[in-house]
Amino acid sequence: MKMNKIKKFLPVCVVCIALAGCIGTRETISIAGSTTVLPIVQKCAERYMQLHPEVEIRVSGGGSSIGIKNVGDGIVNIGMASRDIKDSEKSNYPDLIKHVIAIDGIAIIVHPSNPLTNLTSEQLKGIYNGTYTRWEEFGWAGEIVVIGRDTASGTGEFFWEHVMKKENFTSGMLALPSNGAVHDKVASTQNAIGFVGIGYISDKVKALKLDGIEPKVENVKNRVYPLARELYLFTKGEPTGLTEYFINFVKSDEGQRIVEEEGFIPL
Amino acid sequence: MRRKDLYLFNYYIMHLKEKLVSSFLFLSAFFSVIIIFLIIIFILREGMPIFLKEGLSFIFGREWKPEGEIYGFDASYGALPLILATLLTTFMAIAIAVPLGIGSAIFISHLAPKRIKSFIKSMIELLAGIPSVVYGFFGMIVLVNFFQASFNVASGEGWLVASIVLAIMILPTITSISEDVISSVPYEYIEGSFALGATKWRTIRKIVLPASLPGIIASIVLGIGRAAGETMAVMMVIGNSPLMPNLKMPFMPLKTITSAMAIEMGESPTNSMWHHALYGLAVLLLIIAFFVNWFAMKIIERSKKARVNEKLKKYAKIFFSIILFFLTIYIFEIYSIAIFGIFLLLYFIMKREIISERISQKIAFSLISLCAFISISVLFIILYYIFSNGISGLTIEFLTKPPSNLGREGGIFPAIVGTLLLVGGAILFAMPLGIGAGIYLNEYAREGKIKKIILSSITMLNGTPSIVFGLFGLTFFVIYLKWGICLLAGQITLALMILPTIIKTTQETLKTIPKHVREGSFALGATKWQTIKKIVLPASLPGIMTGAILSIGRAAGETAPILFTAAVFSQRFLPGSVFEPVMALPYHLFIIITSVPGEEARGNAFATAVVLTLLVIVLYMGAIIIRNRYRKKIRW
Amino acid sequence: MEIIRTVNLNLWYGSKQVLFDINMGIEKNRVTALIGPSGCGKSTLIRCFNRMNDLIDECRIEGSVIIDGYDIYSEDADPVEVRKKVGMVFQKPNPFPKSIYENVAYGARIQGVKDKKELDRIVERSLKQAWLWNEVKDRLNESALSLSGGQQQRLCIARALAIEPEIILMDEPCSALDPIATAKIEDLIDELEKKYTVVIVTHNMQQAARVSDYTGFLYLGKLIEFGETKQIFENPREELTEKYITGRFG
Repeated sequence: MKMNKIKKFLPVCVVCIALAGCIGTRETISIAGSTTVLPIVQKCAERYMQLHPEVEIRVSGGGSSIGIKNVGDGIVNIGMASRDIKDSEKSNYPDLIKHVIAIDGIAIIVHPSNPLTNLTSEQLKGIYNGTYTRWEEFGWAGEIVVIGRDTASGTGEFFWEHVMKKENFTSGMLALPSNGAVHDKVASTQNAIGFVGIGYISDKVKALKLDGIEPKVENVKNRVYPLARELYLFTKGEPTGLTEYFINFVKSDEGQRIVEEEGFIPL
Repeated sequence: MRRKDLYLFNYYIMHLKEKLVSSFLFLSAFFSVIIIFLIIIFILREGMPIFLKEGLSFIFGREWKPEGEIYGFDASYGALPLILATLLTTFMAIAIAVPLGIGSAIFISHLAPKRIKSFIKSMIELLAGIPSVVYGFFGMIVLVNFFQASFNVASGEGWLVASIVLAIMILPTITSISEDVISSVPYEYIEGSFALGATKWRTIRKIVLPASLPGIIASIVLGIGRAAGETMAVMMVIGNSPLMPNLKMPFMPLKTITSAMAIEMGESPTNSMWHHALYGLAVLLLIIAFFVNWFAMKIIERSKKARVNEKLKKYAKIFFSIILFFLTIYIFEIYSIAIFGIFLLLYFIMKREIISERISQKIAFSLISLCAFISISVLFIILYYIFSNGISGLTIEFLTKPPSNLGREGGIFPAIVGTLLLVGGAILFAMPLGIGAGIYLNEYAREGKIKKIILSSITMLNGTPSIVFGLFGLTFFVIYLKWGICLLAGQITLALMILPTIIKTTQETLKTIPKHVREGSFALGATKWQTIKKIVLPASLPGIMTGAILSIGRAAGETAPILFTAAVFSQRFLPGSVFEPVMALPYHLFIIITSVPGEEARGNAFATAVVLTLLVIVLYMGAIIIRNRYRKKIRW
Repeated sequence: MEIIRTVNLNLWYGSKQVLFDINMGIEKNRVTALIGPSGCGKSTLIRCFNRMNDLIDECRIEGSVIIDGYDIYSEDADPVEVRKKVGMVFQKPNPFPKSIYENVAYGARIQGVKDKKELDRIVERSLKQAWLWNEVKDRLNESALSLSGGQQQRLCIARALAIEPEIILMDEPCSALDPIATAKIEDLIDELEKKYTVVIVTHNMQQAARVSDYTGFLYLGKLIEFGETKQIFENPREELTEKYITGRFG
């Protein structure tokens, strides 16, 4: 009876190994980290693998902190981050090298039915630190549902530094694990407000002006939009081999075209 | 060689063989002791620094902000909000699931017409097969939005939805085990009660239920353990903000111990205090799990003595009444007066027997039938929702191609293969060890300290939450042995998780084979192992297979053990060796739901859920069918 | 005078007929024994008297059983009420897993007795009637399962007496007991018939001869002969009866 179980899975294993074997010796790299950077890197990886069929590039998310930690620990080859490395991380992983691959803006989004069109930085901070709790203060109605990111998020961390000025978020804030999750929650919750990388703006949500400036690519390029930041890939030491080729690809014209396609600002 | 020497030689060989076999079997059984020992040691070692640093303020501190380490402010490691959130959701889940579960159990064993009895029982057991990530999915999309809309709250996440989801998840455990004990109350008692002119309801209330109490308590305890240790489903609906739980605010985001571990493990810098704090949480979780098990055993032992039982019941009644009294005042404040009024009214009606016994029996039986109806409806609602939204996505392309565009396009082929590989490997590891251990415990082990230690280890392994297995797998295989995130680490971690189930089912199956069968074989001169190999094991085959299939189903649906040890979100090629990571269905589903926005992603999420649920349900149904046919077939 | 009368009583388990046209009368305040070989339907027959056969799914009954002038199988008869008038003691003693006190009190509680003093009184009275009081009066709160077989059976009798039935059915009450316990119970039966009507099923002919006033002999579901015990055993009318009594078969 044990033999039967083994017999059942043996063909599957054989097929897999055979399939893999057909590919011959493969080069593989793993990439993990920021969900803001993820769409860019994922698309680049797919394009790159199309051009180089013998190569495997594995991509996962998790947040900027996970990206930095995993590349520092040697679990992945490249760590994606939407924030800069912190002092504590520098001392843990002194040999991380930073590669800028794109510019990003952080957009404030609300539900399409929300009549608001603009917020000042002070108002935004007030919403996120709990000073304002109801939309009545802004000419609408209802309790403000504050959507934010969890602690692994570079986007969240950037927001905390630059909008909150390192003040605490309101305790009622819903901490979601990704840009995608924030987008979906705001799209389905009438009273919600959230922040996402501008690559995640869709017609399911409404993007607000911040201090009168629209979160458009041109405005980030021109450094007019207040919440702009760089997006990074981190490597442990100088990149070599497939890691180097891939990072160069991302920085190349073709890679930067993908950056633009995804709604970010090329270098 | 002379004949006599040849004979002696064979004799020695035979006994050597027996010795080898019994040693191997002993080692299989002792393996559990080693594993639980390793788990405890590793988790303790990693968690000790936070206890040394913070001491009791780790448990009683009210601020959980360990991310200060990265963000640059003072980190705090007070786990009280997490602990309270876990306790709150667990006990709320129990409050919902226990009445429903016991009601359903009574319905199945005493009220259901014979023909639909086993059907209903199987349906409720099927609920146990649905993977936790699918429950989380359902909770997220249906329940949260439902509460948001109907109660006009800003957001539906909070302890209420989490408790409901947990309640649905532990319902099958409570129902199934309670039904087993209730059905095994000796018919003589029931007959005796009827002969005295008691109604059916009185017989159930005064004879059947008290006699089943130990088993019912056991089922509740198992439910508590499962609820407290559940990770994925809770994570998706509770909001994940480490606030102090508030009974009056069911729609406030909270964070449980398990969701903190799952979410923060990946980002906490290795060897930071944050990292140690998370392992400290694992230690707390293990303490809760082991304590609950120990407490239950004590209650069961005590409740077996009739006299102590009656005193215990009186104290328990007073204790719970006091708690309920204060809780009601706290939650409802002024309105408590109305509630107490209604309660007193009901109490008088029942005491003075204003309603005849006939009518109260009718009311009772209606409520009990309602319980069973609710339990089954829940199953069908969930299945209907998942399938109706996901069937359309099940194209050939979906099942045979790898994912692209972050899972919005393409298919889930590598995830299907990955799941099969993970489960196959897990079974390969767990079956020989588990069956060997089961055989040793039932056929060879002598009563004594060693047997007790082995049995306790297995019980503890059984009570260990899946996320703790995941953490152990991460610490031991991925980091300590430096395997990295790979298939093998996932397979072994899953194997450890399902090992107790296989051991238990093997043991129980072997127990049902009567002694005289073995004795007959011995009388013919067969050795112990020969008897086991040729007679006992073949007869136990269906029972053991049931356990194996149930374990496969569980392993296929679990996310927490593979979260840190084996899974990756997108992979173009299938793994070339066991040291590469794999995609897996539950993990893929989880990532798509929580991280990838958009309609196409949602559509694919449903389709993935269908594939995963189908896979697991087919396996569970197979197990149930085999078990039912086996029960009818073999008569000794 | 008659307290039970069966009229053309027929019973089927599924498609198999087990009782054929039983017409029988049980005298009040007397002990009636039912004897016959295994499988002849004696237990099935007395279970008709307290509608315990209702608990079996495929059981079908035709005919009537009239107790105290009332057909207990009529449309508006309530089995629960019937069982309060007709008590039963089973072959294997089956005390509940509760204390001795609670076992006996159970029946009284069914009748609606709530007052503690009243319950105490009933428990004491029933245990005395069952000749068990002296042996257990100091340990009423101990588990009933700690008693010996014979004591447990007397406890079951006390339990049945607590509801103050008119009729007590006993289905081979001594077959699981040793001779001394058996003798005690047989003496008890003698005492009981002063207040109650007893119908006892037994495969032990000597026991039937010892305790009963009337005897009915059943064979393969038919009532072969019924009459005073003395007459049945010394001068049976039917040949079949004589064969059974003399041990030619059964």
